[in-house]
Amino acid sequence: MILRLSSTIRLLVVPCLLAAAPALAAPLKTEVRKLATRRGAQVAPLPPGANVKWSHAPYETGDCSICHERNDRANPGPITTSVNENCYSCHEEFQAIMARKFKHVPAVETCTNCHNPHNSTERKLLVGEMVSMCTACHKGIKAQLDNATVRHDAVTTGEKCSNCHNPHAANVEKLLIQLPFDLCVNCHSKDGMVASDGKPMTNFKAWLADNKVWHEPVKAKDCSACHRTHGGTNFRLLVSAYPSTFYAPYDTKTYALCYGCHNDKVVSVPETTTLTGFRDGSRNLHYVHVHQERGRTCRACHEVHASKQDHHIRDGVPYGPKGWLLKINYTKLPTGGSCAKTCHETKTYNNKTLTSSAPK
Amino acid sequence: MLAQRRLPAWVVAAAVVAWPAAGRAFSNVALGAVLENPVLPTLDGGRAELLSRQATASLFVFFRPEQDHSLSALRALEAIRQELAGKPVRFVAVVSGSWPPDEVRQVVKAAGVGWPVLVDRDDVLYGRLGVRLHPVVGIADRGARLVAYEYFREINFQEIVLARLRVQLGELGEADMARVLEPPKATSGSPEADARRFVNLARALWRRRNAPKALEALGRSLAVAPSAPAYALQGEILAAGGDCPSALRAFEAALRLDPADAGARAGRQGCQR
Repeated sequence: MILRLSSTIRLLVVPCLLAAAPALAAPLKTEVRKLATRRGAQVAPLPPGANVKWSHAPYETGDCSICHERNDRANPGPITTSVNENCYSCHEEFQAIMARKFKHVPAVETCTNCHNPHNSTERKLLVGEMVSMCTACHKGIKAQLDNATVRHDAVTTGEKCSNCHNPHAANVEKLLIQLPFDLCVNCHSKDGMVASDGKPMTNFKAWLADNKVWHEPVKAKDCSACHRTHGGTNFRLLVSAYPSTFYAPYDTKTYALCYGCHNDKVVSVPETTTLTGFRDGSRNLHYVHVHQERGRTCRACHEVHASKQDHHIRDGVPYGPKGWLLKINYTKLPTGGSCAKTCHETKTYNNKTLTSSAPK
Repeated sequence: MLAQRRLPAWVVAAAVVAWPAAGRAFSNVALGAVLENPVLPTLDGGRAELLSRQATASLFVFFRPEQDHSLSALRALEAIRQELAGKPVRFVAVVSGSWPPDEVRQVVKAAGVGWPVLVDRDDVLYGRLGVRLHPVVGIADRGARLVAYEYFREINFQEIVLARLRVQLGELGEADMARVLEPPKATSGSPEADARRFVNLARALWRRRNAPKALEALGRSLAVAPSAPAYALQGEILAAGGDCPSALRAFEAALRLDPADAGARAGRQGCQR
């Protein structure tokens, strides 16, 4: 043995990210499987003929004794301290990095879980291609990637997993380098980006600068509240169902995305005096708009990321093949609000009394 | 049932006054407003207050069954409760009375929650506060003042709620809270770190008296980011090899970057003797 490795090679199904995500089963939490193949199986130098692209400086220059007992390539003996102590003696910045709150368990255990300390075909001396290596343990993510009909380029391009995650330790759950929004806008802050369905994608920095009423997940920089960032089966990488069309028959299941936080009764009960302010007396106007065969989906009136008006009410909706903006003309009133003529005749609602302002 | 069905006028007044300054919380109750403290029936057939007059912080969470976020939030809050065990924090959950009790019990059991679950019949409390979201957490101080409002987040929910409670307990300050809300970027590499790594390698090589390779490593360090320790070690190695003129230049370079560098000062003195 060149390196003194962890004495027990275990094959257990345990959550590697236990330290990173103490809350037990969040919806996005996926299976993580510790693998024997990760236990330093590739710490030896690659055999002659391997397509070596990267070498560790001490190995390259034959200074085996930097890490090992002897300066003898043929018989270097065991390493002189634990793997991580050895690494940190030069890579000292990792002492501070590993002091962060959320730690990747394989990195805590031993650097050689993921790195070959001698040479590699991969950058950063990784023992394998990054996505394959990460998903060897993160089986749930692998399943998401394999089954995704809507893919996210961030997973497979550039720094791949490291575009968003710090594989050692981080200050944000899921080992995210920053809060989700701060990561997402690294790409989603330019004009001209096009989704896989050919539709233009929003420049979020510009949109949010121009629309000051932000949806709560946006305020919290929590894009992953609504988007499954590794890949998924819903359009726009949405975490759960939401109608992709302007009109849709009402079914609670098709609004699973919104009801992940909002109360479905806001829409599904015809009468209420407590659940929503969008009511005329006790007549629930959400119900009136949505709960029908040709129901208006949330987007008919609400802008999901940010808007200029309270309640995320949008200025207008695109209409027709050229996207002509049909103004909603919503006005907030002391006793409720009104929508001026566009979708329908001007109508006013009163949510301060139990009596409707108009006949039902 | 709530003791009174009408919101007291002073609560409305407090909410209206506090709204613009304190920011949005529940739709009808702003941060800083004093909450009413109704006694509600509990899931196990008893009755309990929404807030505790004894606890430094009273946390209440509105949740509902058949919702992943509610289950996640309850689990996260239970983890927080365990972490703060023994501290004067009280936890209660609030669920609409429209849900079948057995369904509620299932989610409560799955989350491992042992604290009181209040039943909000006819959604009266929900409507008075203007809850709107599920799950959502409110935290009140000993005086029943609403001090924190947190809706569910996929990322860092537990961190943030825990920090809010710790602020209330006096364990964290507002600056700490700001760091929890905006955690510093978790970068790994930097030119300075690369440069330090080569200095450390050079130091290890020099301990083995391998001067040529140590100097080569220092050259790589200085090429990335010049630093006093790199120049000082370079001077030390050169001086040991008898090249005091070159060593002096290295020590001077180190002291230009850090006049207090002890190694460079000692090395320069040694060469000047």
